[in-house]
Amino acid sequence: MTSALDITQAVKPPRAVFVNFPLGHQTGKPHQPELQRRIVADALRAFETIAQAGTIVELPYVWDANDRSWEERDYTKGWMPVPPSPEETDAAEAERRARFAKPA
Amino acid sequence: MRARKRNRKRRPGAARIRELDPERREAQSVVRMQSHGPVRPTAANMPVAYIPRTRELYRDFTPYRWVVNDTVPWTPLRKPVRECRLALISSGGIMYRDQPRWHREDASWRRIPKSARREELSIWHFGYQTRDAQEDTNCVFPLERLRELEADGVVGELCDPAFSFMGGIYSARKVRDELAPGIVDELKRAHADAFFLVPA
Repeated sequence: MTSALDITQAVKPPRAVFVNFPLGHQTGKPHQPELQRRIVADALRAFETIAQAGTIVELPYVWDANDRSWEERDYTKGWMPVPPSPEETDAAEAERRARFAKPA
Repeated sequence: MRARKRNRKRRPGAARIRELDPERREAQSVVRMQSHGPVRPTAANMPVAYIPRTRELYRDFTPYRWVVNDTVPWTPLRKPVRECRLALISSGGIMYRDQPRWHREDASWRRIPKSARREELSIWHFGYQTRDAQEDTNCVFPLERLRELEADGVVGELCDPAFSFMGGIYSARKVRDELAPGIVDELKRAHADAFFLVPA
């Protein structure tokens, strides 16, 4: 599964499925299980349809038919949130681990 | 499949690592699938070039040496997906409950129980915008969707556990020589027929 066509073309996996969504959404948008499911099912179908090594199947899904500005912004300066400080990272990590400390 | 001559000087399977020329167009077939879903006009097919963007974003760092493979491995899938044992792997940095987070150049991986609930999963990754995936890990780790597809018979059996690592690893050598073989061992132990890899 890929959203970075140029990187996948360089790596050349045996089979790949490309969806033109911003990075971090390779299998769909949040809280849209139907869309996620269609993307994953389409990708699995490619296991059976791709017969030539290196083929990349492009899925026809569109992130936003009326606004393609994400393509200009994605993975550019200012696109990533400001990273938390090491102290904030450690505190968030401690909180998460404490929250789940009890067995499932 | 195209017949390609192997470079005998190189260890079989070893990737050549070099700076990729962003202008270079790779000769590779991209098949557009139009059998279902909304069909996008051809003129709109302008995927983002992430290699030059990565170079720009990390311009203050030593340039990343992109993995460029000249050959494509191929193992035929000998049965339909509905009869396969399928493993899920994501490089999106998914953690189950109190599993430890990753650190820089950390090539370890986490085993995520197949039965994990969404609220038991969280994400640590410095290299992509994780906001949406934190909200709904199915954006990069479609465990719930694959469980549904298994229940519906689309997938033969989803392997337990699924796997995740944090893909922001500078050393391609570390990925090739440590991470990849480790996960391959896991897949062999799980008797997986195929894996679904989601690089985030």
